[in-house]
Amino acid sequence: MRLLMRFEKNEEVKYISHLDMQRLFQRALRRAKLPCEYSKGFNPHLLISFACALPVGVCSCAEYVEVQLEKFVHPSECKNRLNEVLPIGVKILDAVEPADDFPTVASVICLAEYTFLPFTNDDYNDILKDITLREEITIEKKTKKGFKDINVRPMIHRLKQVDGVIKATLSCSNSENLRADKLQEILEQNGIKIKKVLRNSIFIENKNKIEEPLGATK
Amino acid sequence: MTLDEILIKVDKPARYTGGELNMCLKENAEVNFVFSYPDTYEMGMSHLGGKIIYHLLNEREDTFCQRCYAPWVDMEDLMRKNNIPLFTLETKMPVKNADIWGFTLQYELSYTNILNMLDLGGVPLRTSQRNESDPLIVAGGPCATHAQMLADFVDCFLLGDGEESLNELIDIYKLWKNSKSSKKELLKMLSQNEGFFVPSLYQHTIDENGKLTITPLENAPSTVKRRVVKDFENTFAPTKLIVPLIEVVHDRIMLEIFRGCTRGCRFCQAGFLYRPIRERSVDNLIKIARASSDATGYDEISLTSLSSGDYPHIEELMERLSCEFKDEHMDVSLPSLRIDSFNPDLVSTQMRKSSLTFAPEAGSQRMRNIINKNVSEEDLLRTVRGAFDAGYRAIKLYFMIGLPFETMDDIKGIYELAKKCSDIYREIHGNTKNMRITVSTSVFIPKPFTPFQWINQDSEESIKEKQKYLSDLIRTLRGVDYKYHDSTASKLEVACARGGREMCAVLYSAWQNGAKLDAWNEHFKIDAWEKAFSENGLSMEEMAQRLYDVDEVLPWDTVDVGVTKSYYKKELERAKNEQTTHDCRNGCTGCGMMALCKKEETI
Repeated sequence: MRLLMRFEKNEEVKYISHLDMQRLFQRALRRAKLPCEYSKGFNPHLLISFACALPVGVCSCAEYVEVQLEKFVHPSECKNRLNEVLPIGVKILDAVEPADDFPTVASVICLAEYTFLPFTNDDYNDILKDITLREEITIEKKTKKGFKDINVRPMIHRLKQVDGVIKATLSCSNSENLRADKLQEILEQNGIKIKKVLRNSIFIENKNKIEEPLGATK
Repeated sequence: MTLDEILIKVDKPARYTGGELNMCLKENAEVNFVFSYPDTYEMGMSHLGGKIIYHLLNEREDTFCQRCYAPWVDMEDLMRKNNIPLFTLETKMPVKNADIWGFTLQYELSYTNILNMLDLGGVPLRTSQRNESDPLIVAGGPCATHAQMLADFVDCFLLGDGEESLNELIDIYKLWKNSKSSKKELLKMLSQNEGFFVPSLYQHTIDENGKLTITPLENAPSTVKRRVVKDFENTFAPTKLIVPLIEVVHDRIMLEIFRGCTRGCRFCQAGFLYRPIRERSVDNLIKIARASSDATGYDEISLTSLSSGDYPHIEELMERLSCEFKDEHMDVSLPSLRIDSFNPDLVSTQMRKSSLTFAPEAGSQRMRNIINKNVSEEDLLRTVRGAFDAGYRAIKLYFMIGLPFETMDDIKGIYELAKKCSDIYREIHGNTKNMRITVSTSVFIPKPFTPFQWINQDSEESIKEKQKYLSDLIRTLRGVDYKYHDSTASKLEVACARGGREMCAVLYSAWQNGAKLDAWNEHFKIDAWEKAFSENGLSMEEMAQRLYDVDEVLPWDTVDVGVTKSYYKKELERAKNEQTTHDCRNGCTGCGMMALCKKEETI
């Protein structure tokens, strides 16, 4: 059985890495005694996959993890059992059993929406507008061969101040990905000091529709 | 800058944030205790003793034990710049607000971290400078038995097993707190209890010939006995263990199957400091393992002891564990296997076939007799054959050089042993193409509370010559690598381990000269230490080379670990005569701890 869950990563655990989060889930699943499936082979490991890595220091209420169970356990029971054993700061918000032909979230993820909380209450709309009007915004990206300049302007789909906070929608696919901490750098280069970053939601492109993963499974 | 702004700038910020699963929180505790392992979070969270202490103290309703580890240099730098005092992981409480701050002393090269942590915490370094509102500074662990170097800085050392003495410490502290008397009174009260060594109550004087006299003050006992938990079977074993959120060095369930060792290897301080041997039953171990697994979700159990293969029910335990955790994908690992207790069947139940490590410790039989490592060449070669037969292609062999009474022939023995192992591989596989044998040597460090406590360390010159000689020999063997440790750090370790109170000033100077995180190669500053020695009119070389007279008073003589001095002398004589002493499971050898041994074990 496939089990797809949305969870939140809060302040208490925002400094742990993607790898730490994998380990955290593996152990939580064992504590919850869910009948997880393991890989076959010499060194069996738990079958678990995450939608998209979150930069260290960023909170999120839109993280997705998928595991394989050997037999059926009702998703809401899985959610409750996990929430009893997860450490403070990680909480399952929703769990579903996706249809067999539903793709993995990681393979169809396309956008992510973030909230950036600035240090001060100023009006940043002019600066943000100025950023979005640019044709090119280059950042240095580390590749296998060294550093490469890439234009990330096409990866910023929305950048606006709403009720004091800055809302941003960024590319988040396998081919085009602008990480939240990179946008934070751009904002700070333009004089907007950021206190907190939160991932609000991610979107997938499935059957020509752009929607949130758990909405699409139904 | 706020803590949050700092954390995002440092490496591995989760080292400082706490909040792990099974962390304890408590309000309105009567006694606030802070436990520190004086090194990084990853080291501290890998230490079994710390887990025992943390959960043991937090079992008490009246006590709240929090943790604090040494910050890495980047964090320390930002903490100092922003005036953030050292704080606990649990509540971010400044450590100086604790009632008692306890350190574990696992290795000498962590001592500068203690001074640095006290300083970062805003606590005056010296006992004499602290007042009533500062925390009581205590220290335990194996090095507490001979840490004269910390005598000026630590209020009270706790000797031996902490399971009982820590509870007594809290009880006495509460009594004292209610009595509203001075801290001096508290130290006097503590000194009257077995296992509590208050260094300020012992006056050390050195005469013109460099000989030491120790005078107890204020009715302090002339010697302080090490505490020994007699009923190990029923003593506290934590199971609701903290599960770190980040990767630490040993990130698994550590199942302590027994404490102590009966072998009597003459170089091994732990072998003497943890006597007598005390075992847990298989039933109990299975219970502890199950509870730990349920509470943590760990997928690996490591059997912990000084020599796991010596556990008499090891096969039953392995079988019962694999039965208990059937279908749960639990890995059971067995470190500290001795060559002669190695059983290929035990190893084949382990999945990973990367490499096996053996510690013959010395290359020649003569030398192994001197150090009483009762392992024969035959044992080793049979075991190595077993490992190669079982499919292992890589083995590591650990040796010490600079051992007492060592000659170049003994060094050559290391090469010859490696060559014989390589020959066995060739015999089995026809060639040595995929074979990897790593020979690794460390420099012998004479330690207090061993028969070699009086002996000088080999000179740096001689060590270098031996390393070169061995390196040249091993270079002729294909598929065999030679790795050796730098001898400078080991020289310092000897001076720290066997030095007297004169080392307090050296430690202080070294810290002032910037020494910290000495156990980390990238931070070890030998210059800071060399300078510290010379600033205090001492020489590291001379201290490492010091040969103590067997009849003179030793700086650590106030501590009675249970094994008698006459036994150490006898063992040193036997070593000189290349005589071995048998494993005391096979009959009492008279070390002095008989009263604490079970009858059936002293035939």
